[in-house]
Amino acid sequence: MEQLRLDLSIASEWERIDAVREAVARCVAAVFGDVELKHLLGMVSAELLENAVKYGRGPKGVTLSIRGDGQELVVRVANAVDEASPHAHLLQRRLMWLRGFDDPFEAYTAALQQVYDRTTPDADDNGLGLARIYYEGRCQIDCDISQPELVSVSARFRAQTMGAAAVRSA
Amino acid sequence: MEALPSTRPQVRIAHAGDEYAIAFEGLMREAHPDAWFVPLIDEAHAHAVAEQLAELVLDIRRLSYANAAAWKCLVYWVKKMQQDRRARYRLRVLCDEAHAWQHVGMPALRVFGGDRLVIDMYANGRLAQTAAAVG
Repeated sequence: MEQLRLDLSIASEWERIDAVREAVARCVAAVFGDVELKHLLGMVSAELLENAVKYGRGPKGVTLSIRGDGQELVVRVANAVDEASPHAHLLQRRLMWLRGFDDPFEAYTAALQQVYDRTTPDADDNGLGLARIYYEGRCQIDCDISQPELVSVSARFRAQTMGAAAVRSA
Repeated sequence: MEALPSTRPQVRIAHAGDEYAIAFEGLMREAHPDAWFVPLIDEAHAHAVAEQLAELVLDIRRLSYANAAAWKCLVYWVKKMQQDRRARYRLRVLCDEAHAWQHVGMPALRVFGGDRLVIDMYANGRLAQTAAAVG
């Protein structure tokens, strides 16, 4: 069975993210030969990295790892945060909010509704990227804040929940 | 050394008579696309209101990727179109089904657009499907 193991450690710079998205997409295509999965994992990686770069503490950079096979794939992005930063707790709260929806489409449209209700579409995060991962990627999203000053967010794909984007090499 | 890809798309605006179209090409993956996209939307909207246009076109068939921040701008456009009583136009978005983010993401945007948002999905360069309000 095909397996993907990818580890990247990058500078916490916005300009790097798209290069990583493309690299992830190419690796997924090379291993699984699946166009839908290629796009999805690229999107998931990019959205997680955007959050990490936005809220991380710069000098330590950001790490991305992908592990998986034909049945399950996990994208994990980790970044350092200041101890006083509210980001980790806001992240946990947002994930709990997302889990309150059985239907990822409803979660995503509810997140869009929050954007709709604003006066301006300022890019301050309301977790739309996470909702997008939940809806478009049908991912289970978790975060780990057990280590001090480190936030790790993982998005887990399962072949049986991916529909058209299922890992076809299983 | 090869440069990193630009995170801002190329933008082309074409307007003549009662036609007004904005086309994007490339990537839309900035942290704050609203800084330039919202003024673009405001300008197109104002033109449509002033000229009483029936339709504005947004062509994203050559936009290979857009981030969540870009989606927020599209929501802003839909809201502006619906809440301004002077606006009579429909927003027609030209998409390409080859871009997964478009054919997966657009159904959610349609929830907000009602019959004023029309999605034309192209496949292999040809119009494959037109969709308006979610029924």
